[in-house]
Amino acid sequence: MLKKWVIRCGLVVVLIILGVFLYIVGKEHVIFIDNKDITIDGVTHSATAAYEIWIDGKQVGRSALAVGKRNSASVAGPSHVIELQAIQDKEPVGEKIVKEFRISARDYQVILNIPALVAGSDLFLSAAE
Amino acid sequence: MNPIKKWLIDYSVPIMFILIIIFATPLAGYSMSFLANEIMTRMSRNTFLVLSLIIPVIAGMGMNFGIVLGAMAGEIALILITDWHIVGVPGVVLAMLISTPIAIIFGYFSGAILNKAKGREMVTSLMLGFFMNGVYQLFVLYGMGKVVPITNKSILLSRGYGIRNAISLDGIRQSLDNVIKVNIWGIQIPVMTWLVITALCLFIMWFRKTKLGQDMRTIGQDMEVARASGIDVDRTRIISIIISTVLASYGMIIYLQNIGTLNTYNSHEQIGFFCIAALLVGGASVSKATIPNAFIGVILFHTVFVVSPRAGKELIGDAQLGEYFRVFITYGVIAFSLALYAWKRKVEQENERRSALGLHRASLQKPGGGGINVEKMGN
Amino acid sequence: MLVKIQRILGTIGLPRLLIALFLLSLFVIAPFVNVRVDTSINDLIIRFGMNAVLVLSLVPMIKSGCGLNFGLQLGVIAGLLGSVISLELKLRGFVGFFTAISISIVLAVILGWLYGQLLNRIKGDEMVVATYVGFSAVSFMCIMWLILPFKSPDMIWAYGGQGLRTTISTEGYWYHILDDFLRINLGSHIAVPTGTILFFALLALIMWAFFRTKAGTAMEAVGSNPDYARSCGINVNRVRTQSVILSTVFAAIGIIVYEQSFGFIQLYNAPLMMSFPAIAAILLGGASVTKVKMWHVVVGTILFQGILTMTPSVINNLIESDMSETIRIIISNGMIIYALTRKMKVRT
Repeated sequence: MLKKWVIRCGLVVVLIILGVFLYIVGKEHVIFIDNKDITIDGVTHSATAAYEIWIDGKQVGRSALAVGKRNSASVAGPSHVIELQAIQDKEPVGEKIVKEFRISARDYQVILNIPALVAGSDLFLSAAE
Repeated sequence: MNPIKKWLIDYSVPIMFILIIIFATPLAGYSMSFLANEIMTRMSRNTFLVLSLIIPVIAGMGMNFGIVLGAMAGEIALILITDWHIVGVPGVVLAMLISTPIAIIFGYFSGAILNKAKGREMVTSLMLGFFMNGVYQLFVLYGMGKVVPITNKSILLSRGYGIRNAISLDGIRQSLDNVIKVNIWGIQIPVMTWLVITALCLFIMWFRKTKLGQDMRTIGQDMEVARASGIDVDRTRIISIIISTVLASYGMIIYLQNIGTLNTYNSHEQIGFFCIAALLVGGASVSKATIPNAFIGVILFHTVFVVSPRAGKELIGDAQLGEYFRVFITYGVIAFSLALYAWKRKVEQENERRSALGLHRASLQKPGGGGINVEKMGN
Repeated sequence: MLVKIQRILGTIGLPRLLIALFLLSLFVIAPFVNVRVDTSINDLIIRFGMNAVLVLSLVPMIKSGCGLNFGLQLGVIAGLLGSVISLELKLRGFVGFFTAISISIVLAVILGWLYGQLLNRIKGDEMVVATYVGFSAVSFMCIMWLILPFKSPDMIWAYGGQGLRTTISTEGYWYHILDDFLRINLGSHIAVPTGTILFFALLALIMWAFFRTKAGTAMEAVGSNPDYARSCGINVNRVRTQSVILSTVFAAIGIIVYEQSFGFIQLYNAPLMMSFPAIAAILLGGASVTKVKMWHVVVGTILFQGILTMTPSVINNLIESDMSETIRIIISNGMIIYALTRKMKVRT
């Protein structure tokens, strides 16, 4: 009798954990990608170059994101990879920058700032309103 | 009765439908590939729901018009995951996870009420469906946004609470279908969905063999005998409705992920009628429903559904006529099947009574005095 | 004392009491939310007149043991056909009104007889089959309204030139023909549609008198104990068919009374759900699946129409939202479920 109840409670706990897992893995996030100046902790990172952007292997937009512009991408789940390639006069310049990042399940919309990321700051990702 | 005649009467509804299809399809003039794809889509969409009707029939509860409640549970779950922005297959599975406890509560409520209306289960479940529609509206049109926190403003009405009439389910649109998609002879087949449907069929076949399943069959055949054998009739009946309601909620989620849009207040209304009509068209009756009934029924019913508007237009020049014809066929099928079943049952009862009288008279004439062994009768 | 209260509660029934109190409270709250009580009472009287005959039509079938007439739509269809035919013949005033009724009665007798034959073959499962027969009939008529050869310009679509409109006005024909008959004006806001009420009273009287006749008592006998009735030599099936015909005829008259007050003949899908409000009303009045008295009709219609009239105005002003439809769904269907779950004497 007790065994039956223990198994049932265990099953419910497993299902709840499954539910939480599905929630995190399935949560859609909208990433606003800004190629704009940003000031963090008093330090200003300026946008200097246009970038071609790939998130999780797929290109965002059909051409490079110009200075001062914003694009957006929709992803699902917590962990993603962003690749940046600086573009000047329609030619790639320098090395590709690759960065892995995580989005909290609590955030639906986040803002990713390119200059901050390029400069190596850890605060390139912030939650939108 | 002549066995051929009996077979014809038993399967009169599917036969009628086949005749209508033979007549109307060429009239409608759709291409074979269009029809095939359309039927495949509808089958993958609806079969799960129709299958969920089978278990209550086994338990003698008749056609469970209360699958509407399961549909509503599924819809509430979908509203929630849309609010939370959960997408893809995780979204679908999470919706099913969430709808389960809601469906269990609805099913329990349904079953308890049906137990109080023994002998009138079908009308009661019909009215229950309408009633819960009101409760659902109360919850979704007034409660959501006020009592239940909804953060996604795009699904709320402009007044700040209450869900909009139509919500786009883009996030999960076709996500179950697209997991594995195969193209055979030009027909798109959503393999994953079919795997799920097959899983349900296996479940039903397995369930029939379990003690619970056998108990339900006994109740379906004769409630008094079941009670005498020590089966808790009321509890088992409720369980059959709970299972059906939970399955219906999953079926509704599968249905909606295929369509991609949720008509918040209308989606579930028609579902009950269409699924029951489909099952009946497949040759099922109030006391007997099998898995083949479900598949055949969905194919026949939906084919007629697809071809009648165009056929009506060709025949009389008005597509509207075809639409009305569709609705008439749906209701008419249910009315006809139910009436046929009730009439047959009465005839059976009359025959049983007559044969019992006959036996009694015959035994009275035996030298030993007569009378009949009551326990041996009626089994 | 307590036992007496319990007994009164038992007769009235808890849900009924709750709804009556609910209605009363709505009337009390009304003035505080800018809803005029006298206009409301006026509305209530009008709606009573409109619906009472339809509710009355349920009585014969309950008495004869056929249960709640979920197939009311058949009688409604007879009435609709009678109305449109009368309009096609361009008959106005009382002539038009009574022609409509006469034609409907003929059609209702035919339909009722067919319906009765069906019900007799399926004793015990009548209600759900009746519901779907009613639905099918309405859907079938949708097709008919489109293709029947009616010509009157007041009734057909302007474009196409073929097929009846969804809503046809009775204005100019017999709009308010009963309402205005001997209309009594009480104050500036209450105008009693005396004709309609008198007509209902007349029909109720006819029905009451019928149940005092031999045929009527036979009907009641069949309802309460079919085996005993059979042993008395009563042809159970014939009596049941009679009750179905009677119900269908009254339903046909009922919809015409409704139309003259409402002002419109509504075709196509409008009659689809018409059986449910009438059934809810009579159950609200105290009837059950097997028992009914004449005053149930009156009380039930007043309560039900009262809820329908008062809830929108009062609740909407109170909560600033339109909950009336939802509340109506919950109350009317809830009543029917309550009635269906009461213990019933087992009929063979």
